[in-house]
Amino acid sequence: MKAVIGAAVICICFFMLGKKATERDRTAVKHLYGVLKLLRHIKDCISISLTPLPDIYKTFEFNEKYMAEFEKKLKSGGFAYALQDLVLPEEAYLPLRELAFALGKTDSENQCKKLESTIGILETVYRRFKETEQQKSKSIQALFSLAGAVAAILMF
Amino acid sequence: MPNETKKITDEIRLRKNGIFNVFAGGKNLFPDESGRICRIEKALTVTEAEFEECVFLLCKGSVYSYDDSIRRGYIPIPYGRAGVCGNGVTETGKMKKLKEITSVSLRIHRNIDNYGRKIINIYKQIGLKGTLIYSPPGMGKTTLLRSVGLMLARGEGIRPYKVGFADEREEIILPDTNTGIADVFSGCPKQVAVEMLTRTMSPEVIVCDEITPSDTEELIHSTGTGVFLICSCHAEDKKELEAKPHIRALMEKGCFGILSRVKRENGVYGYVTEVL
Repeated sequence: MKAVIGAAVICICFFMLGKKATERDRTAVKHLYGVLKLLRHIKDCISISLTPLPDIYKTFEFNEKYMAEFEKKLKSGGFAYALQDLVLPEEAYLPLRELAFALGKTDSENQCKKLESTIGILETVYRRFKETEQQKSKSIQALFSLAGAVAAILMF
Repeated sequence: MPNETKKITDEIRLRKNGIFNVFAGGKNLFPDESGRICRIEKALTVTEAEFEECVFLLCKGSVYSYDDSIRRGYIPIPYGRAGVCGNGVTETGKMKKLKEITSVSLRIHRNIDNYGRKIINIYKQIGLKGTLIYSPPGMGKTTLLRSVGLMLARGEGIRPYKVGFADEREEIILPDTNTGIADVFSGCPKQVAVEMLTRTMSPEVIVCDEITPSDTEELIHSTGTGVFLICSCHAEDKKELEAKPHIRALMEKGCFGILSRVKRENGVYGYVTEVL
């Protein structure tokens, strides 16, 4: 009985390690999804009513809990400040930094164009990253589970 | 900059990759890096990054939300107005947008208590009359206009009137002068503001700054409904004033019974008034 419990504990531990190893990528997918949602909202506000950025930030609310910290920073210090602590896919950082630098500095036509192009780039990154993340995550978890099973067999 | 210069500064000008200068006491002055007034060759220059930061801050971090006013050549700011110019884009002869802002002129407005007293005293003697305030730019027309309008609204030395301000560029009413005593229509073209005020607020007096030919029809119409106008326009003297067709049209329709020429000598504001 002890051996079975021990083996189960080892398997669970390895499975959890596998989960942990892929957590960063999962968070990156979620954060990127949240940022995309915000950017689409900013674009709509600018093109429809030319709402100033501080007002957009003040009224925007994320339903997702994982964006709570980002939302707090967005309201207090703006987009560039809030962006600092986000976990994102590498390819998303450069377009977002460029956007943060340009946000609020041009007329509505150029602002909407900039937002559109950034949203376009980020959507491609999001789709590609989500697919790879799912495949990668499955493989890593399978590998860790297998390693757990082997370790359990060897030990007991 | 020396404090004495700061006190009499009317305008601050910034140009992208160009000279920074102030207009004070009727003179164009050029400060150097330490703020001392110097010759133009040694004057402080504004870098592109500094200039863009300035425009960004004037627009409270959202330049696009000022598209319309920038297209009309200004950014409204508290206690003044930032005039802008640069490369314009036109469509069928009309200004579509400013592609690039290259110069900013920050006008500093002043509030002089009781400045309109002389005009109010005339109203007391002969009754309220339409009043046209004129002078070349930068002499203090808006200061006088604001003072007369608010004195009428507050009933200072005269019975209180219902006063409406057509404040297109949001510069007549300063943040600490509107004590909730007047009705202010701001941020939209004067003719629209005058029409809306006349139709909806039943004012006895309408105050508007720098009238243009496009405002004439609406101003004549509002005078016809019993509203008194207090307006301002650019003109060096009465001859130049009467040479402007829209002003002549307004005068012929009896919109104005008092003319007031604003002048400024050695930095001191003053005006001469003539009853027609």
